[in-house]
Amino acid sequence: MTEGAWQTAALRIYAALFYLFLYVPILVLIVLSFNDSPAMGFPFMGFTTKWYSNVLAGGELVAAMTNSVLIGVVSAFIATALALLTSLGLRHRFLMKGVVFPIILIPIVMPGIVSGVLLLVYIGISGVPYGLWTAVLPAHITWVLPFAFLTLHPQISRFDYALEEAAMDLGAKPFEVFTRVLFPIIRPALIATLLFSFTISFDEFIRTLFVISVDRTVPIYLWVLIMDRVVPFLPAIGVVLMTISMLIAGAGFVLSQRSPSR
Amino acid sequence: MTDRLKLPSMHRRDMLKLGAGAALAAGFGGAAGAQEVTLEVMLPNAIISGKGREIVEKAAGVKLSDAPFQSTPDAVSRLMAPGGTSRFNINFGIVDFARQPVLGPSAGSEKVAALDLAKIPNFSKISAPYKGAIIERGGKTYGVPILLGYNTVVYNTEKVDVKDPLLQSWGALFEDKYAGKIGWFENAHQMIFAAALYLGKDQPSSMSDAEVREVGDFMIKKKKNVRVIWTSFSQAANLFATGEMNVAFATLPVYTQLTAQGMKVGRSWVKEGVQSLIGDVFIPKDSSHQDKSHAVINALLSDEYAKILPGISGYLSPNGIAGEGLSEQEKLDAGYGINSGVTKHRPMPIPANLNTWIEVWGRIKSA
Amino acid sequence: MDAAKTSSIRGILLVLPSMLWLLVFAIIPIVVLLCMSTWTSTMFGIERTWDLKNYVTIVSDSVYATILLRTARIAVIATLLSLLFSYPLAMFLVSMKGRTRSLFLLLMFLPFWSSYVVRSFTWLPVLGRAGLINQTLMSLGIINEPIEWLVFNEGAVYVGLVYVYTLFMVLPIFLSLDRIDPQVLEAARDLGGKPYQVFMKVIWPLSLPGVWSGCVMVFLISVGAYVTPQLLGGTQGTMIGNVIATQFLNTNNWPLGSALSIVLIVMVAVLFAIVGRRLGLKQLFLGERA
Repeated sequence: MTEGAWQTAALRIYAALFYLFLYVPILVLIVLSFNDSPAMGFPFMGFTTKWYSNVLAGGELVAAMTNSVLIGVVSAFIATALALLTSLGLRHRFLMKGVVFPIILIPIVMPGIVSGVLLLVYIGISGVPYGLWTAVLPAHITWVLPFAFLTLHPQISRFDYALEEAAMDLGAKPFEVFTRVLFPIIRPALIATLLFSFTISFDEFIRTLFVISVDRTVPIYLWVLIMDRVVPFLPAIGVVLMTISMLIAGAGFVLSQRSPSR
Repeated sequence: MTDRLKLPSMHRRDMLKLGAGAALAAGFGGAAGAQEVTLEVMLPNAIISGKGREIVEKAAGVKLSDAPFQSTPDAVSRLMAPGGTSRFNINFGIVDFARQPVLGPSAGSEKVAALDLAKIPNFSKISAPYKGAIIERGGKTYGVPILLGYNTVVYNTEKVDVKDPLLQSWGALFEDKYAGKIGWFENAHQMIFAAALYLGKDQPSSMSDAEVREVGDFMIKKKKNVRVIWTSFSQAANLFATGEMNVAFATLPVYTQLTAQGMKVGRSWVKEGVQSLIGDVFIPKDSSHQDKSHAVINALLSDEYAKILPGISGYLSPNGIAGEGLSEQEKLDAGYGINSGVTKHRPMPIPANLNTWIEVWGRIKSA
Repeated sequence: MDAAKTSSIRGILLVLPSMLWLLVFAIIPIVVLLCMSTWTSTMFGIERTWDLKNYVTIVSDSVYATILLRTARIAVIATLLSLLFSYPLAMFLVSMKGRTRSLFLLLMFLPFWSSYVVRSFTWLPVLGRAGLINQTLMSLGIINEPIEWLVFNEGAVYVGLVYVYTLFMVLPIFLSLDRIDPQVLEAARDLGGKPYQVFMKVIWPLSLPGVWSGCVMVFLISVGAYVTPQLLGGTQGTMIGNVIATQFLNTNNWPLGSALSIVLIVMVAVLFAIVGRRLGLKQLFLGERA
């Protein structure tokens, strides 16, 4: 075989093993969701679908999912927009430019509990009501922003300015340069960042825990359940969550394949 | 040109999600919107679950909305934080831990409202053993007990010999006999207290710094026998059922839940004394609908509620009526022996040197 | 106005939105944190004593230093392991095209949509005494007794952390690799470069921005991790995140928790300064246009 073929084969085998590692717990999850046992684990004590009927009957999971999705989408867009602007700005030279990067990283460096508590104190002092959109959304945007930036920035900072220069030489205004030259090329990175940001927001719960009142996002709903209750239907919930996400993503996938590609 | 990343167009997928989300939200929004008052409460979830919730909501004429309850210290700290005196309608705390923060150092600095006992007729039903847990100052009542719980040793009856005398002692959590199958609980005060009791200290809460460290050193020596330190109920249940731990420190609701789910666990009345805790409720002083909050407290002390509380959570009610009608053995099994003094138990006042306890626990965990 | 000044103003205006946002939601909170760290926790709540008692406690008690060092060590190892495992996968994804590539990307995202809480409970059924691995090995007759050390130790914490954060490492590396112009690679090969050389001299350097993004993300989250070590580490898993969490959730000592957080932030900042300078992180990352 040629060297290239060895390389490809090695990569493929590696990928197979990697996805196996990634999915073994998921497969275990699926198996356990049918386990007729009060514990969330082996031994397998019989097949049952009662956990699914349990989960799908209550409206709480659906409400929590709705909240998580809405918050996730909005915070993904806002954080990505902020990250994009920042990244574009960093291509210029200005005073005190060096502080931008450390500041952006602050939300990740601060342990989740601390961020949550501080936001709680903030809101308490300001008198703003603890709501999904008044407290949880800012918390999510702040948390997601550094990740959006770290994912997006390397793609923008290495961007070949020559293309933009050429466009401007041809008479394009800055905004046009952005929409017609820069944007199409970074579009894949933007999409990936949006998706990534959404995923991070979807999973975030520790900051949310402190400022949420009676609404529930999915992680909060689950966390409250496991803290003081035995939750044998947790695997079923996990499978339901993944299935719904997969269906939505799949639908989006199919729809996008129908559109004429650029 | 390399093939660009052909992920589904973000815009379309998000439209889909937004649309679905909006439809669902509208559907849900429409269903709610009653004229009923909704109270936001910070209470252990078990006590307002199922039938308990029904009883309280009906008796008080409100809807209950529960905030995520993490732990008592967390609940109390929410009260103390800025804005805490109006955030929830009812707050909860273990009396020993909550009494001082809630009352404040001097008269006038209370964080909670003085209760109008005329609105809580069931107050008179609080039985004698619980009177000490009523939080008062200057003739006014600020906190009212609503439950009694206890911590003890819980074990998997299918994996251990239930007649083993070691199981009737806190020592089961430390000695080598169950090495590798022991579970501790993530709580500095309670774990060190248990070890202190085992080591023969009669008043663990009055231990000096040196004594606390001594207990800590003992625990560090025995740490090798411990398989895991658990934090959540589900985790504890999981660990028992999968055989990771056969003997563990457990709080009462964990034991109740496990048995309710059909797991074969037993609990001991440890000879050194189980750890007893009484929980009180308060009304944050700047909260709204305080008359409704009073009604809820009244409901929590009612006969109807007192009878089902052990069933949904294992906790006992200060309203003595629930114990009536049970045989002596049934009473003992349910924990009423604590009330009558038959079962040995230890209340747990806050030690003055709590910081030392916490520091020692930190050392134990990182050893 | 000259071009440099226009450019400067434009730059400031562009970064202003996020900086303002972070001023409110990140910088002011740190100031509050600093203030809280100088207060003291008492029976009745927090007293504003404005002293350094908490810091003295942290410095004088060896427990904290031990835990901080252990946390740094675990975070570094977790990051390196994550890099090791994620890089080949990013290469694999780049080698795929079109719909297959999207499919594999989605397959990578999918486990992360099952929710963190759920995922954290799935390792025990795999690694535990009654778990999948043990049951398989026992039924195959390879072992007679379950293996105890697959879980509840530091190794299990690595497994948990790497698993949970793969996405964070794969994605930025993938994006960086994707940007490499294949003509550059072809040129390198045409010039006689062997695969190993092409990798070391062309691919790896060009992917560095993505690599650093991934490492920064994984390191920072690992340093503050507390759920994964608590669930999988047994009695060996205490990291600084657990200690800080305890101060806020169990012991009600917000001032000490704040002081520990400040110490953590400082430790991370120092690490970054040292490592960053040695590896030219800033240039790499904030590369201004040439």
